[in-house]
Amino acid sequence: MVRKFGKICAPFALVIVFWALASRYSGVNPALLPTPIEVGTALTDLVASGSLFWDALWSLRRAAFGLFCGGVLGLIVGTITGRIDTFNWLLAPVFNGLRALPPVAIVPLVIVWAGLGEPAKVFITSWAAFFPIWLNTHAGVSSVDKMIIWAARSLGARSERLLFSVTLPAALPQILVGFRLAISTTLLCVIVAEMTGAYAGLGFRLQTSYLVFRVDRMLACMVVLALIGIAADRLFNLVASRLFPWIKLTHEQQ
Amino acid sequence: MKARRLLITVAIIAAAILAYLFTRSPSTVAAGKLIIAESTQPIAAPVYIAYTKGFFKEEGVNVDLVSFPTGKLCLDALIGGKADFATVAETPVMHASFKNQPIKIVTTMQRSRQNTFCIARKDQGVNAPTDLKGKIVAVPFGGNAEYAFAAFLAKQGLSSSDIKLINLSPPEMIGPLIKGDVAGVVAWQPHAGRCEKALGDNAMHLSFEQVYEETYNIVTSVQIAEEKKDIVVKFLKALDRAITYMSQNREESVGIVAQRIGMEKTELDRLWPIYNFGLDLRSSLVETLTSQGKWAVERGHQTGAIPDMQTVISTVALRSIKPESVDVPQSK
Repeated sequence: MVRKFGKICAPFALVIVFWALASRYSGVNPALLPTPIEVGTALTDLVASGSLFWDALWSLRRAAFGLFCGGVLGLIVGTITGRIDTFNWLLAPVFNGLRALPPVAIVPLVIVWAGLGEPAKVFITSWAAFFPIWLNTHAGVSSVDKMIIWAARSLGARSERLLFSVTLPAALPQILVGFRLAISTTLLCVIVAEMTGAYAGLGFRLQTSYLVFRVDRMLACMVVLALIGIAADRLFNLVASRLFPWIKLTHEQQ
Repeated sequence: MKARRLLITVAIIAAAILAYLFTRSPSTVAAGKLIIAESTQPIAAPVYIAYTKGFFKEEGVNVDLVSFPTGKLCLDALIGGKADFATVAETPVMHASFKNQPIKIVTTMQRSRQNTFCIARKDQGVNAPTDLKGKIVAVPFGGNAEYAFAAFLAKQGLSSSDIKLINLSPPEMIGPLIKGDVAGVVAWQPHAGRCEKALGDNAMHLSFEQVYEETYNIVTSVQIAEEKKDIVVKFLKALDRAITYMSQNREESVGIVAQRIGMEKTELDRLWPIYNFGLDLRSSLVETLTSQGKWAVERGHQTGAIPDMQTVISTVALRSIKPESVDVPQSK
């Protein structure tokens, strides 16, 4: 147990030690690279003021909505393009072009089109979630072994049954990889979305901290973001391994 | 054993990368070339004129201009050692002074009471300043626009908490304002003027003239201000000549600046009278910096004691060429 805990903590301890040494001895302006203690103090202040809690909650809410909307859409469209050649031929080139657009580039357009409210932010996070899920669902569904499909058909499975009992379960490992990737891209994009036109959120806090020369607060927000990212990934693995125990997703097994 | 060796190798490589990334690049002053970080705004006009008309060269300073979208980024470049001088409003300097940064304002080169203001939508019920209560207003957070707006609200008996403030950069404001996502915007020219023009008769112009005078300044490192005074003096002489030239050759100057910052000449010509170009260091700058420091602490942007703002101003160079324009006592 202790050994396992040590194994988890060691990389983070190494980063903190390296960071502390760099901020103290590298000759870098201390305001640009604050020590871990200064960042810890800034983190404590943000927690004590309550702003960090609400910022994290807003960001998580936006990310969760985006993941849900983009996820459902990505799953549906990926299944369609993976199964029906005409749709694949029609949609895949467009989606491949769109997914190459950096989220930073679409934010000003979304503000102009969708305004400053929550729908705009959810649109950006949905955009971020959609592409990895669509791509992996598409790849998973289109690569299901034809022999299995023929076998199911010969046993009398109709298209609906075929989809839910054969195709999607066979594509599930890849779909889960898509969702796992989408978690990180959604968290990334929620920060981008909140950097402008927001009242609250970790991206908002990060941006305003930058504007008032508070690198310590910026790093504190980044630490929280990293922790949320790790927690979300672990939670996803946990839930996925409980729901689909036959699919291997953990680091060790990969 | 192998793992330990690998770990040490990784640590050495990481340290080398970090040292490379963060090591302050040597000042270009020694090489005889100065980098000026400028913010592509009309208020930096003396720098463009001095550069284009060759005044810097004639005074014996060899300069390169590097453009940034905001004064804050110019100051970041200076603090990061990537520039020798920066053009910036006073508010980013105030924030940096809380972190005890080795920088000095060597001159103010522009003052204006009309550059920054609020434009609100009449159809959202804003017909007087107090009507802003409870409304959504877009403002670039942390900068002089937010400070000026806070001072304006205080004069109306309101505070920032009475308004729903949303963080937006001035170039992004026009869309949400036209769509009605926000009831008002606080920005500087030319963005504020473009918002006003876009709303037409629906625009309510709320002036900050009574509460705030914006300054645009030249900032350099403590090292240059204290050890290379001759260079700062030459630099300021070139700027002073540029300002004289601008007052005598308005049309040409407007054309040079408009071309440099990519703005319509007619638009800049219309704005030109609101800018007061001139080199000075007034005690009002110290008062404004101190007042902004108090605001920054109250607003939660900064923590700790308010620094002595007089220490971020170096009067030596300007005093040697224009003593009548300096009334800030030189701090030690």
